[in-house]
Amino acid sequence: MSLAGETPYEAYTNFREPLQKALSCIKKEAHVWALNSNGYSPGQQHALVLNRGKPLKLLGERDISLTAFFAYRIENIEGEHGPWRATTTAYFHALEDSNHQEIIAYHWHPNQGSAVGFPHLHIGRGIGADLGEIHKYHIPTGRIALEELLRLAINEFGVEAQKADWREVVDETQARFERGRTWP
Amino acid sequence: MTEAPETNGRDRELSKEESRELFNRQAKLYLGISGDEFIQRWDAGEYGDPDDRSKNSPGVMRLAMLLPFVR
Repeated sequence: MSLAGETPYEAYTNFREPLQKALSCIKKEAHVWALNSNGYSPGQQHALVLNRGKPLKLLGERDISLTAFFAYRIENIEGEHGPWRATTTAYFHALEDSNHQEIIAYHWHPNQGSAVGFPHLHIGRGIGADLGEIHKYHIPTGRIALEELLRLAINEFGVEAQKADWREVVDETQARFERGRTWP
Repeated sequence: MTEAPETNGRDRELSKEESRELFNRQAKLYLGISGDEFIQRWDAGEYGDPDDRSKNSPGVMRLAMLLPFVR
């Protein structure tokens, strides 16, 4: 299984379902929603948002919420990643505190009006300490999968996993994502 | 092969109106303004680089990313 599909709709479901499966590890009722489109028509931008765009409150030691957004296109291509595939064009995944201040946020938005075109990390004021100018930095990262943030939330931020086998699930969905992606 | 559903009964899709509601809700939550006001300010060039955090709060980039989907 990869992000590719025999039809645009299959490419869309192969993009969406692993995200959905990974998210179920931290909140069983978490869902991603297509924003103002059917999610799979070729030739246009699509977006998926978590939880209808509302911060998703997570269970655990701290009052933390998750937000996530993925923009993508469904493209007709030749080769092993075709004939149809979902190609990510932007993302953000973030953890925020009870006041909706960012704790950390992973961004990539090369075509959204920002001069910062590389994937990067923000450390927000919700981290719980005043880091001065560091809150303004765009700290370079590779491409960060949602699963990496989910592991971080569980392992380091005390979020309670909702599945006993969550490690295997996020390993598997991330591996699917990485097999299908065309840049690291 | 997976066929596309003929109705919205299987997939979770937000309509244009629901997407605008989402945008408006996020503008209020993160910036304390309406979605329409954000769009007016954006179109006027008030924000410049949306991810310039010496000038803008984190919410501006969030809204900028949503904007193409709610116009």
